[in-house]
Amino acid sequence: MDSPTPIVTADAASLAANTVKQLSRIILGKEHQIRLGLACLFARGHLLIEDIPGVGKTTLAHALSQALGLSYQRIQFTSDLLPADIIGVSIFDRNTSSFRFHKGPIFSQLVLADEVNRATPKAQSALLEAMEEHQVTADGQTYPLAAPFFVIATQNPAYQIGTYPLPESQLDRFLMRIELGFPDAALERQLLLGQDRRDMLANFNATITPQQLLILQNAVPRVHVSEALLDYVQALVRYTREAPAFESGLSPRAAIGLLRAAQAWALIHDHAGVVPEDLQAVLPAVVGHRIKYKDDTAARIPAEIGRLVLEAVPVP
Amino acid sequence: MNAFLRQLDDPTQRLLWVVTALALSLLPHVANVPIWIVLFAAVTAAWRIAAQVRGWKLPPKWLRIVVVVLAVVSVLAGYRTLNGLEAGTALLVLMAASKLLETRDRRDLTVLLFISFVLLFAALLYEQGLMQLPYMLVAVWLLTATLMRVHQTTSRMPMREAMRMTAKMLLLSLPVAVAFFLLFPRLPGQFWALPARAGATSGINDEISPGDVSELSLSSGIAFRVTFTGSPPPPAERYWRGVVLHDFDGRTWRRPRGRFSTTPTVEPSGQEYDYRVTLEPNNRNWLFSLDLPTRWPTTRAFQSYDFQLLSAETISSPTSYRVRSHTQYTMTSELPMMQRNMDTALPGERNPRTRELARTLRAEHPDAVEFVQAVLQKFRNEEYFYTLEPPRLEADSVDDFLFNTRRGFCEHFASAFTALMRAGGVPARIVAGYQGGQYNPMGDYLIVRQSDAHAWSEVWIEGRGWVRVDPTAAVAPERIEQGLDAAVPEDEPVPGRMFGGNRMVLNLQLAWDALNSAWQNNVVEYDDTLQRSLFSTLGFDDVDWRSLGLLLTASLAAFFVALSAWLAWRFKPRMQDPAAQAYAQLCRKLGSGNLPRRPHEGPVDYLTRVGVARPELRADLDELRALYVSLRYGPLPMSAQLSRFRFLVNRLKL
Repeated sequence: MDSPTPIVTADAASLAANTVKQLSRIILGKEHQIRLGLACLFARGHLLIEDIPGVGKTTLAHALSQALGLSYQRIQFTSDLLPADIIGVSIFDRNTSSFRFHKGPIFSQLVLADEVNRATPKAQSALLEAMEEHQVTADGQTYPLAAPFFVIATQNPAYQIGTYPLPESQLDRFLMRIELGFPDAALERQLLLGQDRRDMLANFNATITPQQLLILQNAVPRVHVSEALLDYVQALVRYTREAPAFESGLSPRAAIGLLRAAQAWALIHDHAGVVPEDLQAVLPAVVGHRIKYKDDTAARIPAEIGRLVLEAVPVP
Repeated sequence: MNAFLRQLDDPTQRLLWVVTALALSLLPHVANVPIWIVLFAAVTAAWRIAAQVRGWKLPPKWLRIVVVVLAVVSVLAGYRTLNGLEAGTALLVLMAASKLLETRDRRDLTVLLFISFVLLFAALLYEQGLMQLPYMLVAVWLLTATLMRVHQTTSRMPMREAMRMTAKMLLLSLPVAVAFFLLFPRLPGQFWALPARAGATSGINDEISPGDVSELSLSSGIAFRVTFTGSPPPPAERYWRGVVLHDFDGRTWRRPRGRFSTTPTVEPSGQEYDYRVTLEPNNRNWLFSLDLPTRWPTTRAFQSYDFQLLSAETISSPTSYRVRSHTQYTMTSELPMMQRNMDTALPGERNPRTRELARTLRAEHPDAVEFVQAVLQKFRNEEYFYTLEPPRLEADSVDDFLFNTRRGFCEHFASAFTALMRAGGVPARIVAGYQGGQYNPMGDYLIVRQSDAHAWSEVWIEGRGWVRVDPTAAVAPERIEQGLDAAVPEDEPVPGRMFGGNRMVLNLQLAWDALNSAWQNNVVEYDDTLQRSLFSTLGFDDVDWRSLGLLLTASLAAFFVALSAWLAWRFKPRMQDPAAQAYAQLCRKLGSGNLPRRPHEGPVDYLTRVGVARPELRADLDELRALYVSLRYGPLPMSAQLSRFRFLVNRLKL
């Protein structure tokens, strides 16, 4: 695939289907989450994976990066992580008698920020600023980040010990937030019998080239959106703003994100235009971390929020 | 202010708003209740707010009971009753203030707000002027908004939001209110009327001493307004007859009590004036009418032997009545002896020089008419001055005025003239009332003010009866022709004189007065008569309460039908898309086949679900689904697809 050829949606769908198939061999029984993750990356969004330790968050992130064939760096967030550990440092070069900037792990196409809520807010914000600006500034010099640039962050549930929960404004920078959950019994048995996931990852080949990825990303905003679907998007957004149970509704940025994610979903599923089901499929992942309940006790299950919103708004 | 409010917790904010609402409804009563009640309410409110902020405990139950008992007892002591408007208001204010002492939860706040509403409406029992209307509207608005704010449970509702929603609600309810106002059957008579209140009397009194009328003339307050059916009489004939005074003690003229006599027969001539007087409350029971009234509302007023119109009830609220008068008249009957004696009586030794003068003049002019002319001639030719600031007079006031001070207002001249007539043996009496009036071109009516107060004389001339003689006209004819302002010296404090030159201020005043008068006549005084005449102009003749009730029900129904239609239109799902319409038809069809679409179910999910449930329809459903998705959500919907879709929908048999 030396020269990028324009791909039609059918190609996108088959590429995506192939990728999902490959990934599903490693992450068992999480096909929906894999599709969401792909849609998120196609929509140029950053992905947040949240669950308890040991359900395969890092594996999924790693597998996604492998599948997309992107340069990959992993940053393990700890409480003593400094911004410089993410961005890089300037070191004095004896030969040239000047400072040279040594780029940090952020300068790669896919950055896995593992256990992002274990780091201090200072380190978190260094990452999140890079996510927003697509560039970093060190010692007065501005360095552009790689393109494409993705962050897949994993985090432990906020009620775990030793976490600094991300503030809402920073959560908003992740297009989607997904959960993995436990595999069902049969799949877990398969997992126990199967080979080590780490070995499988090592032998995993990219299913999408960077050029293809670029074309796919450009195709996402061009997926047809009808007036009827926009009505539905607006009805959903309006509901989140007016429903008395929620503290604040979706922002316009979130609404755009929702639409892009639905477009990416439609692209993956070979839909000529976005249908309400595409929207419904991505909505829980897109809105779960953006809406807060007024009643704090109910706020534990973000997926529940998506279901509530969907069930409250009729499809126009 | 906003930042300060926001840092308070919600119960405190709610309490503050409720106290504000209470204060707003108490404000109109400040003048109606004793000052200690106002102070009690202010102290209670301040204490309750402090208790809220500082977290003090509210008083125990026994203390609250003591406070309430004390309040009731003091109202009883102050008014001798708990009944009636004033005592009731005082009690209500006290109870509202006491309620603050036990205001804990939302229910208490609601009770307080309802008391505030009652208090606010009680203010209307005192006064219903146009001036208060804006205040009342704003107060009702704020009270309702506070009610909404207090009941907002799920989150803090900003007061601005509550005010906005309340404004919308009140505006929406306006047509209903107007319908009720116009159509609700009114009962004839005084059924709704409040018992007369003891208020301060104002205007012309039934006893006049020198200086009384000039003092009254310093007020620009309105006495009454008159609307003529035809054109009003010329200024010189605008004598508004009020009280007739007979008894003189040398200084003060009084109305005798309990003396009755026969009324002379009046033969009116010339033009008849038909007009309506709207009297401002003066807490007296005499009515004013153009001299001389010939027809009046007999159910509400009667005429005394000296042509004074008396109301059956004290005028404690604006009252209007219709009268007809003739300014030209003669009397044919004889003056009864008793009345002749009464109207020629002078007190024993008082005013000797006046008697002397009268005797001299009468000797020169044996004819009564010539005698009258001679006295007027004296006023006209000698140095007498018309002034708003007459000097004080000695006990023999007439002597002092005639021979020393020579400066006086109308009552001085009328008093001196009448005394001279009596001393000369001509029956004479004083009539107090108003003279003149300002014509308001904006409402086509006359405004008669206290500054138009006037006193003149009537003398009995054989063969002509009682004849009006205005000695002021001999001294200052401008007063009668052009009013007070033209007649008195320029440095005297005639009301409104400082604006005298300003045409715009005058016009503004007249416009405001016309507005007030229209409000009074058409809104406040809207009764069964006005209601009937309104509907007869609309073509419903002689409506009774039954048809009014029907009309009311019908118009309310019409209002709600219109409102529902508007709401239905406003929130109608947009169905102009033909594909959506055909899909809705499909959903109805499938729904009647026991497979209804859940509202939040998308078309792909739904038709797939139906296809699973009804495998025999699957092929059609798959095609329908593909067509609908393409039509509704696809990039290139085609009309051929639409007709195919419709065809399939029609073909579908369940």
